[in-house]
Formats: sequence, structure tokens, C-alpha cells
Amino acid sequence: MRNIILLCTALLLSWQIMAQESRRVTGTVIDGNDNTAMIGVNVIEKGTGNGTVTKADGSFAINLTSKNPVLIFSSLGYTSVEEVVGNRTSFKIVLNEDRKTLGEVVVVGYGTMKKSDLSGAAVTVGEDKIKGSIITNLDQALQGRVAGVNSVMTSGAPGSSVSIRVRGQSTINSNAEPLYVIDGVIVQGGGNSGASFGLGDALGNGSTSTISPLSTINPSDIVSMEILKDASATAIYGAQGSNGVVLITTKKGKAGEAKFSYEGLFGVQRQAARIDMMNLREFAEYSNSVSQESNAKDDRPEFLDPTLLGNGTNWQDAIFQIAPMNQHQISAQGGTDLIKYYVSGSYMNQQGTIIGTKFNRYSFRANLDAQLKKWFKLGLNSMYSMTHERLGLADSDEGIVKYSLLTPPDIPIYDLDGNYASVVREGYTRINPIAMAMDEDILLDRNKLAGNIFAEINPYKPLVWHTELGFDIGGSRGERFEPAVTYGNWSRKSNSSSIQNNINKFWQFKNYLTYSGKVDKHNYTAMLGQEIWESNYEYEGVSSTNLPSNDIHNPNLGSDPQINTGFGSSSMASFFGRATYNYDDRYMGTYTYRRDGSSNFGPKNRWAGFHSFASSWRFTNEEFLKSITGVLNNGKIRFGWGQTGNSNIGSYMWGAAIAKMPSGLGLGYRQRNLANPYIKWETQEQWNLGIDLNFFRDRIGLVVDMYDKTSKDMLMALQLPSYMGTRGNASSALASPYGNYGTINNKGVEFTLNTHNLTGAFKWNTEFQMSFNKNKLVALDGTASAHIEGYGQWSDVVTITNVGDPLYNFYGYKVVGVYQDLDDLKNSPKPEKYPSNGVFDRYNTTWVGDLKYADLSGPEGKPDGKIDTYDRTNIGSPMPKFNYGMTNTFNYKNFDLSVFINGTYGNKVYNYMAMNLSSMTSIWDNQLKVVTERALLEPMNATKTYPAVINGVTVYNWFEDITNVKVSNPSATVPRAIANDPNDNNRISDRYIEDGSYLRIKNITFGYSLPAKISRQWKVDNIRVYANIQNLYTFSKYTGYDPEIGASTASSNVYGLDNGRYPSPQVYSFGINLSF
Amino acid sequence: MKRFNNISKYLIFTILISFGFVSCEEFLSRPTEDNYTVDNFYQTDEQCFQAVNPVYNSPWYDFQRGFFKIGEVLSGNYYWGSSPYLTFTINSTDEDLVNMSASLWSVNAYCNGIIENIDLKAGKDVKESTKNTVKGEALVWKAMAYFYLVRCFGEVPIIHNNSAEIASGNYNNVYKATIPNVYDYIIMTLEKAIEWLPASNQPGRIDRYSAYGLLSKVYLTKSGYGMSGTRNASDLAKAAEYAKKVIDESGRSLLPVYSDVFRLKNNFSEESLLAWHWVVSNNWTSQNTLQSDLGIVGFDEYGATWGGYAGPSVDLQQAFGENALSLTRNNNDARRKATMMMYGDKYDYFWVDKGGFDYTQFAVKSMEYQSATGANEVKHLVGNDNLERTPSGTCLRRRPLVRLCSLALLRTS
Repeated sequence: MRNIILLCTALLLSWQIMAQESRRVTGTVIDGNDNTAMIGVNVIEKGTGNGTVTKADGSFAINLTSKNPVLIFSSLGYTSVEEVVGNRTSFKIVLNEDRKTLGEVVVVGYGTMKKSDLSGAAVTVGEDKIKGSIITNLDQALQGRVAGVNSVMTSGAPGSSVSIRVRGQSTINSNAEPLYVIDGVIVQGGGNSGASFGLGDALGNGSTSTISPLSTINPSDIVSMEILKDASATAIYGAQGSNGVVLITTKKGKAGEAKFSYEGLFGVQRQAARIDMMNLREFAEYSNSVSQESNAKDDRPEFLDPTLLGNGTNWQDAIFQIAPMNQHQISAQGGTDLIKYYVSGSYMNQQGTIIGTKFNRYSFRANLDAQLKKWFKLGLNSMYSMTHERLGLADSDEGIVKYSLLTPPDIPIYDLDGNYASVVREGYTRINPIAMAMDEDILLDRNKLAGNIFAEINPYKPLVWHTELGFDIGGSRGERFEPAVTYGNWSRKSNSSSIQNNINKFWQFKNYLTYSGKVDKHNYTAMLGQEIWESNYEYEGVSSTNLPSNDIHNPNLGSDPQINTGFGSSSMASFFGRATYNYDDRYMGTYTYRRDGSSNFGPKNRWAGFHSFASSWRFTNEEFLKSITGVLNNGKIRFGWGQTGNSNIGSYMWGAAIAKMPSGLGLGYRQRNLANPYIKWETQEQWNLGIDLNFFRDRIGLVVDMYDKTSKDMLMALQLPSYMGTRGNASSALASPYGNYGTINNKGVEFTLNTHNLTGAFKWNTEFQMSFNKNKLVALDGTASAHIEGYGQWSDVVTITNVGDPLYNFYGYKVVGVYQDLDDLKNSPKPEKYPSNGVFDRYNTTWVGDLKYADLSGPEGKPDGKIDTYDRTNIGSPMPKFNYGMTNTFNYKNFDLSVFINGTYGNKVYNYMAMNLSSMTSIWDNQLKVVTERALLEPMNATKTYPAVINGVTVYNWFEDITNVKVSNPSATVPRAIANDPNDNNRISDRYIEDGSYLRIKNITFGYSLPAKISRQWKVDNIRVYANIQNLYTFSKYTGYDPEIGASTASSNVYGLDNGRYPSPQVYSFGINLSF
Repeated sequence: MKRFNNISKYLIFTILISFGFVSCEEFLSRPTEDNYTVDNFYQTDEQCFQAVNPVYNSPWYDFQRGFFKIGEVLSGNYYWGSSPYLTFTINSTDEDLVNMSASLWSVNAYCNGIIENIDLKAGKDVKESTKNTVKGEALVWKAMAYFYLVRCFGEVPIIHNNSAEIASGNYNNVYKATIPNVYDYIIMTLEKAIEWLPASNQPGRIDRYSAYGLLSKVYLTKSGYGMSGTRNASDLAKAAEYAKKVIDESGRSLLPVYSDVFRLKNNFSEESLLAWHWVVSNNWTSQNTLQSDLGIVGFDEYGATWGGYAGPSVDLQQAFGENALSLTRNNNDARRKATMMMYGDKYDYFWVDKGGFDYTQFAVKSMEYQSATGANEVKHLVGNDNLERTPSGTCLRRRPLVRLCSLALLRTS
């Protein structure tokens, strides 16, 4: 505001002085950042009132009046330049961004603050970083860029969601994602699971899916993101801030003639990694060797001589494709000093690297600021977007990745007629994975209109009243279609179709008054405000089967269409205030309070209040340290504490709802859940201690933060024992009550180090961040036996978190080795299938070559010589010990190069897919190549003759004779092949735990800006071309596709479990940015 | 002007704030809007009956799936590939076993909830007799669940009121009851149900004689507990007494044709005293899964039958006097053809629109003989889409649990 007034004054002054004519000089001013012409730069003759501003092409002309003239070039946000004129008549001036000034004002909740006044922990991610990666959603830009933020792609599908954990997982609620706020409006997701869009279980049964609410937003419109990490920063968001807050600011207009820009990008994506599966020859050999050990029960004559066979079908090559992507954006910005605009339109089209998946987005934005009166400012931010996605289920047991890997190489993709082949053999149906991906539609269309209208009224100078109406209106349409088809000898005779339309309406209304004042060295600001919001949803879906053909997907054409409808709403009302104080830029303090009421809670505990404070001391501004400012130019210690809350449980958990359940006796209505009228807010308390140090005039900047945060009264479903009747099939079981049942603690340290290594013509900057987090379940419902369970696919327990453990530890048996022979079996702890009568049977009891598990405990708490459920233990944590990211940027003349790497260390991945890929339970499934190194059996005495009577049972072969069989490769880690797996070698065990640490070359960008000389000839201000390679290489020991695995889409409380996750693709892209 | 602006702005702001305070509670009170809650349901007789309807199917879903394996596969009546139930290699973490347990406890929780809600929430227009009938139905299902629990799992805890256990915070410290205590609890439950239930109820629903019938079976089973080769005489006498009561007093009779009891048209037949009532719907768990689990691949038109590779065992075939290797059928027993389909069998009640189902022709046309034992399941199957809709590949059916016939047999023995 003040600057606008100054600018106006300068303009007026320049007019007045025009008349006096003497000596005329000319020149141009360009932006040192991108070599573009700078419009509206103040050019003032020092010591006089004489001045002018630059035109759209950066040029200026000024008539000088004084004797020894000095020109001052200044522009908001840039370091001013003084030039002695001397004899020169023409100037070429480069203005560089003033980092200090520019970074000074940052967005905080309900207002802005000078960055130097912040006492909490917040990080800014600027436009350069957002553009440094090839991203579809803006949350993808946070990966590896921010200390204290662990960000993992849920899938490599185009537009996929990202699971972001700010300072560790602090709640086990389904929604542990941070709050996203765009220009003050809370982003509405409309749910994140496939079911919430009407896609049923097509994308898995978990509470998270690959659908991202943020993929409707065009990242090119974003100018910066503020990530608020500690409670003193997030507390102003009270009940919604406990998972961290991401404040997103979109681009605004700048005064001046319209500046158009075009950004285009073309890329191709591919899957670089392949899992080592058996090819046809190896599969045939494996098949033959298994059949040899089973009296040739599964003998396949076509495999008689494997050397005659080719490689067979490579299903991995078949499901992965080289996928193109392109995006285009045109924007215009400009305006006058009083009215500024920014408008943009963009299109993006991205095919998925798994066949059949794609993502399209059209988006539009118009932002307008108008200074209607000196004291009255009106603004409008609005966006509209449409997305169209063809989704596919990649992970889980039914997902295409696992499905195709299990499909044996002896089945072709197409039969001789060019139709999809599919083979049903002895009940093992392998529906052609390609056919499944291409013929079964899972479609999602979304549209969204969001934004706000706000007014800022400035009745007298220190007081500002901000009033704002925000809205987010979204619609979506989920469609599933399964055609009636025949593939080979498998057919689905009836098709099915379902379409669901969803509408979400959200509005928020807020008012806040800000009063700033200054008395001597005391600066203070007080803010007081109110906010209410309401969110409504409604859905209508129709589904049916037996449509006349596969052509028209209207479910109303099928027989007996089923209708599914529902609606509901939630609301919140809040009052809040903030006071900040700054004494002489040395001592800073902030206090905030917010009181929230949420419709998610019953009348008994609806309201809660949240306090926070933070203070900081900039010791380098103290007199006694002034002498060292040459070395340490900025040093600040920050300390804060705050409370935030969480109400993210869905509505009406305080009561018991009724759900419809049809029965043979007519309609039925069942109680859905047990009620808990006393349910209340989850509260989080967080301490933060941080230090900011800047050395050698900002050449080196270091930020270190330490935190300790505890979430108590954690909102979760009560973990009840099975006899309480709340377990089992979620479609039929009574849901256990939600309540406040646990406490989680996260402690951590995070570092950010920015250095300007070289600053000459050749510039080299490094940004490095690293975060350590330790997570612990402190208490759960007061009893010792309570724990948190997570499931692999349906109801198989994969993770158990006991009190005192970090969250989501994998839980299972430890493998010691394989049983070598009968003596080994006899002398080891007894597994469940050890025959008590001593009659071993290779088909039904534990046998030589089976896995030997460790005997760790028993009913008495010590090893008891038996392998049973007491021997299950923590077999690894999916949470990294630390994660890190580093960006190096190099600039030389018009060239720029940026290399970004990121990674994690110390996390474990559960390779769930390998359970099926090395189970060897069916001869009709392809397996990992590693099964060729399984425990192979051989006779101890090859000359022994059969039949023989062993333990009273007649056996006909050495491999059925327990006394005459041993493992020929004693160090084998994969057990013997046996169809019904009597020893349960495929149980959850550390056999499938792998090191998930990785170091990834995430992005390499090489750019070149055409010299202005050349671009001007084409009437273009700036042309930059660049090439980018994303995910070039990942250093990792993981044997699956991709070690970056986030939240499970099949079950809550599971993290880092790979059941065929859609791997992140490699992207090679080329882009061009033009502005004119 | 400026001053006026200030005043008006503050005025508006103050009004807004006070407005906010006044209406906040109302603005924030939002019970479920598109559905009933326990507080506004149970207002009419019909709603009370509707509240107990789901206990006739949904919570039993997983139990039924798993129990087939205990009852038929484990006993050797049914061949099921490499199922651990066939090879006696069931682990304690077996998915079916775990789900069966969860399913039975779920039934118990629902029944307890229904009784509690009827007592506390039923509207003033609900007749006392309706309340008793509904509670009685819930008690019989509860007894049935405990009867399965004690037979499958032995000692189990007694959970009488789930909300009370949760409210007292005592749910983690519940101890198992001894097997005789569990039987006593079942008997007490049924005796209370008999007191509450009417002599006859709406078709398909539980009445007093359903409870007597179950009680008779409970006594029969109990009579053998803890005995070796003999049975407890007083329990046996009770079993016979209650069986006689049902046969003599209920006025029910057997269906003339055995296989008819498994046909859809006889869903509410009077031969069955206690039955699950499955339905065709898109609400998962309201359907019967047996057609999918047991039917031959290709038996329905949705590609949703996958049980053809398992089938009735050779032992069972022999018990019926059949040999799958022979191309002719003996048909010594009417129940054979209604239990298993074998070479040469034709069924006019399946695939009615196509003139009946010919097992032999089906195998010829699909060029595959699916069953490893030469026979496939018939009982519990309904066929194709001609008679009833079976979306999502699941079929509707009632499955009788206590049939009059078995009580007659019981009485005879």
C-alpha cells in the first residue's frame, strides 16, 4: 500500500519536472533474474525531484537537471542501483531481486507478517521450486524440498495423490494430511477414497486412494506455498491445524502494460525398472521340477524340452507403455496502480505409464485487485477447473500389477484371431490383464469452481478490516463399467454399469480486524476475527447389470437399476485473535487464541479453545554483537509452544446411525455403530526451539528446528476385542465407537542449509534439507493389551503398533533358515504343523525345505520350543530415520542447470507382492526368478529302493521319505515348492521385509534463455527453453519397482506396504517459456 | 463521511458477531441428515420388525462362508482342492476361522443392541407384544450364535450387553466361561425367548416353536458333552420333550419332496423353523454366497461362480450308493440328486428358461469336467438369472438351519 502511494507520488513529481529541459540520457532496465525488460522502474535523479519510470520494453529517457547527476533506479522488491552519469548518454541497468526485502512479507493465517518477525517454524516454497519438477499436482512440488515434511507419492499414476506428513504422523485418523488453504479458502477434497466418488471398491477399500483433491488445481498459477509446521504458526487454524498447514498464494497482477506468457511442456514417461520374473523357459523348467516332486501330477508335456521354447509373454512390457504428456498455459497480467489482474488458462494431458490410465485437466483462473477508494480495496480470486481421469486399480490383490506378474508367460496377450486371450485352468482364472485394463472403465470427471471475494477496509491508517466470502463448489461423476466379454475360455456374460454424481458445496465467511501500531521501538499488531463455514454434500448413483450392449453405458438401460443416494453437511464456527509484538527488531513475541465449535461433536463437547505463544530474539541486533555482523549478519533464536486440534472424524460420530440392510424378510435397518456422546476434540501440544543463522552477508544460511509434539485424546475407533462383535467384515459388523483413545508423540530435528557457493559470472547455489523424526505411540485407551492393527489386503494383520512402539511397525515372524533334514526338524523348535505322532507327510506337515522361524517367546514370555503366534514380533518400521533433499543450481550467462536429489534412510518396505510371487502354491502362476534358487530337495541315499515303509506308512519315492531327504542348497532363503503350503511359509515374516532407503536423482533441469537481442527481433521479451529429466535413477536395494511407497490404499494403519503400487515413472521433458 | 463509514462498519461487524454467537449452537447441531438414528427409529411396530430383519442375514455372511468348510470339508463330505480344511492343516490365523468368529460375535452384538434399543428407544405407539416378539427373535439368534460358538470354539466369554461393557471400560478384562456355563446361558436365553415369542409369527420369522426346536437341538448336543460314548439322560429327555412339543403343537409339516426345501419358492416353507433369509441386493453381505463359492464356473451369467473345481467327495457319493466312474446313476436316495450333480443328471428347476440344466451337456459344451471328484454341488444353488436376479454374482437364498425334519429324526432316534 505504502509503496503504491510512493510510486504515485514519484509519478506525479516526474510530471512536474518534465518542463525543465537540459541534457537527455536514455537506456533500458532489465531484470537480473530472467533478463526480461522491467516496466515501471523508478528512475530518479538524485537530490532533485526529477524522475521518470521505464516503459514496457524497459526503456527510459530522462532530461537531467543537476550538475553532477546521479541516477537512482529502484523498484519494489529489487535492490536499488545508483549510477553516476558522467559523460554517458545511454545506460543498461540490471536490477537484482532484493532477497531480504522480497522474503520479508510472508503469508500467515489471516494476514501477512514480515518474515523477520516470525517466531514460529514456517518454510516458503517459491515458484522456482514448484517449476523445478514436472508435476501434475502442486503437492508433488513439496517432495524433498522442505525440512520436516515427509512427502510420499501414493502412486505413480498421473495426478496421483501424495501423502504428506508434517513432522511425523501425529494421528491415526484416516486424514493425517495437512490443511491446504488457497488464498484463504480451505481446499475441499470431497473425500479421498474411491468409494466417496461412487467408484465403490474399484480403487481399493482403504480410506486413501490415488485420487488427489489437489489435482484439480493448476500448479502454474501458484506463486508460493508456505508450510506452517509448529503449533505457534498453525494454532491460528485451531481445530484444523494439527497436521500442519499449507498456505498457497496464487499469482496476482502487476501494474503495467499487459504481459503475456506462454508455458509449454512436452514429455514422455516410462517405467525404467522391471522385476526379475521367470521367462517361459525358466517357467517350464520350474514347472517340470515341481511336477517331478509330485509324482508328475502336474506334468505338462508341452514343456518337455524347455530349450525349444522362447521367452514367452513378458507381461510387464505389456502393461507398461511409453506415455506422452503435454501441458500448455497462457496467462496475462497487468493493470494500473489501482486495478490489477491476472488471468490464465491451461490444459494438461498426461497418459499413464500403465496402459489405460490417463489424466486431463483444463483450468482457468482470474484474480483481480481493485483499489476502489483510498480506504477500500476489493479483490476477487477465482478458478474453475475440469479434470477427466481414466483410473485403474494398480495395487492390491486385484490390481493390474500383481495380476499381470502372476500371469504365466505361456499365455499370449492375443489369440490367433487378434482377440484377447485368457485361460482358465483347474479353477485358476487369469483374466487377461491387458483386457482388464483396456475394457473395464473406471472414469472420474471432476469440476470445481473455487475462490473468494474480499474487501479490505482501512478506515484509519493502523486499522484494517478484512471481510471475505470464500466458496468451493465441486461436482464429480464416477463411472464404472464392466463389459460382457469373452476372452479365450473365460467369459463374463452380463455387463454392469454404475454412474454416480456428487455435488459438494462449501462456503466460508470470515472477518478480521488488524490494528498495527508503533511507539518508539515498540511495534505491535493485534488481530481479532471470526469465521464460519458450512460444507454440504449430496450424491445420487444408479447401477445395474445386463445392459443390452457394451456401447451405451446408461445404467438405466439395464435390468433392475439400483439407486443409491445420500446427503449431509458439516459446519464450524470460530473466533480467534492474535497479538504480535516487536521491540527494536530484537525481541519478538506472538500470542494466538482460537475457539472452535464443530458439528462433528455432540452438544456435550462441541467447543474447544487453543492457545499458543512464540517468542524470538534476534541477538545480532544487540549492540554487543554488532562487531561480528561481518561474519554473522543475522542470528535469531525462536521458541514457541502451542495447541492445535483435530476434528477430522466425519459427522455424527457422537450418535448411533441406522443403516439399511435388505433381507429376505423385507427391508431391514441395522444400527451402524456404537455411540459415544462424550467424544471430544483431539488436542495436540507442540514445543519448538529453532535458530536461524546467516553468515557472510547471507552467503550461508542455516535454519535448525527441534520439536516435541504430543497428540492426546486421539480420535479413533475404539479397539475392541473380537468378542465385542465389532470386528470382521466391515460391510456387516457393528462399527466400534469413535472416541478419544490414544496419545502419540513425535520428536524431531530438522536442518535447512542454503549456500551461495559461487557468486561471480558462474553462480552455484546449494540448498540442502534434512529431517529426523521419532514417533511413538505413548498410550492407547489405558490398557496394556490394546494395540493398533493394520491389514495387508483384507483381514491379514501386517502391522501392529503396541504402546511404546513407533506407529505402523510390521509385525510377524523371523525366519532363521530352512529345515535341512529330519534331524534339523527334530532338533528345532516345533512349528504348528510338526506331526505330534512323528509321521511326516510332505503334503500336509512341515517338511524338509520349509522355513524355520525363530522361537522368540511363549505364553510365559520366554521361548517355549514351539513356533506359534507368541513368536510374532516387530520386524521393521516403515518410517524413515531421516529424509533429505538437495538442490544444486548453476548459472552461467544464459545457461542454468539444476540438479535435485532426495531420499530417505532407515525405512523398511514390506514387499507384499513377493508373497504371491514366491509362494509356489500354484503351477499356473508365474513367479519371481528367485524361486529357481528355492530349497531344492535331494535324496541322501540315491540308491534306496521304494516302496518302503516309513513310520508305518508306505511311501513310493525318495521325496516322500522323510528319512531320506535333505536340502541340496543349504543356504537357500526361499522354501521348497509345495502346493498347499502346510507350514505356512507365506505367513507374514521378515522374509518379505526389505530396506526401503533410497537416494533418487529426482530432477535435472538444463535451461537456456535466449539473449534479449535475439528474442527482441521476434517481439518477444524472453524465451527460455529447458529440458528436464525426472526420476533419472534411484539408488536402492529394494527388489520391487519403486521403494517410495506411501499410505496403503487397501487398509488404514498401513504404510510402506507394496502390493503392486503404481511405480513412479521416469519423465523426459522439454519445455519452452515465452513472455511478450 | 469517513466517520460515518467507520461507524457503519463497526455496526455491521458487531451485528455479524452477535448473530454468530446467537445461532452458533443451532448452526453446529447436525445429526445424520439422510438416515435414521437410533433416537428416531423404532417408532412403529413395523420399524421394530425391520430392526431385527438384518440379523436374519448380514452378520452371518462370513460365518456361512467358513462354516461350509467346517461342516462339509472337514468332515470329508466335500473335496476342496488344497484347502487346509481338507488336509487338516488349519492354522490358528486361518482367515475363514477368524472371520467366522468375528461373524458370530457380530450377531451377538446386534442382538444385544436390538434388545437394548427396543427397551430404551421404542416409541410409545409400539405394542408391548411387538416389543416382546422382536426381542424374542433377537434372543433366538443370539442363542444360535452362541450354539455355534461353543461348538466351534469351546470356551467363550459371555457378552450380555455390549454398551454396558464399553461404558464400564471392562471389555478387556472379560473371561471365558466354561462350556457347561455357555450351554446354561444358551438355555436360559432360549427359555426367555420362549416366554416372549408368540406361538406363530409372520411367515419366515422366528416363533416360539423355532425357539423350542433350537432348544431341543441344544439339549441333544449338550447331552453328549463331557460324556464318553453315552449321553446325559436328563438332557436327552429334555431334547425329546421339546422336539415332541414342536412336532405335536406347532402345526407344521414336512414338504413332500425333499429337494423342495431348498427351492426359492419355498422360502417361507413351514418345514423350516429357523432360517437365514438372504436377498438379492447391492448391499454387500445381504446376499448368500454359496452359489458363488460352490457353483460350477459358468453356472450363472455373471462369471461369478467359482466353486466347480471342488465337489462332493467320493465318500459321500459312496454313501449315496453312487460311483462317479459309472455312467449310470442308481438314484437309491432322493436326496442324492438334490445334493450333488453327477454324469447324466438333469435339473428342470435350474436354467428353466433354457429347458433345464443338463450337467453332462454343460461339461461337453465347456470342454471341461471341472470337479475332481466327478460330482458338483446342487444343494444351496439357485441357477441362472431366469428366476431371480443375481447381480454382483451373489445369489439370494434362504438357508434352513433348524428343519422340522431334523427334529423328527431326532425324536425318532
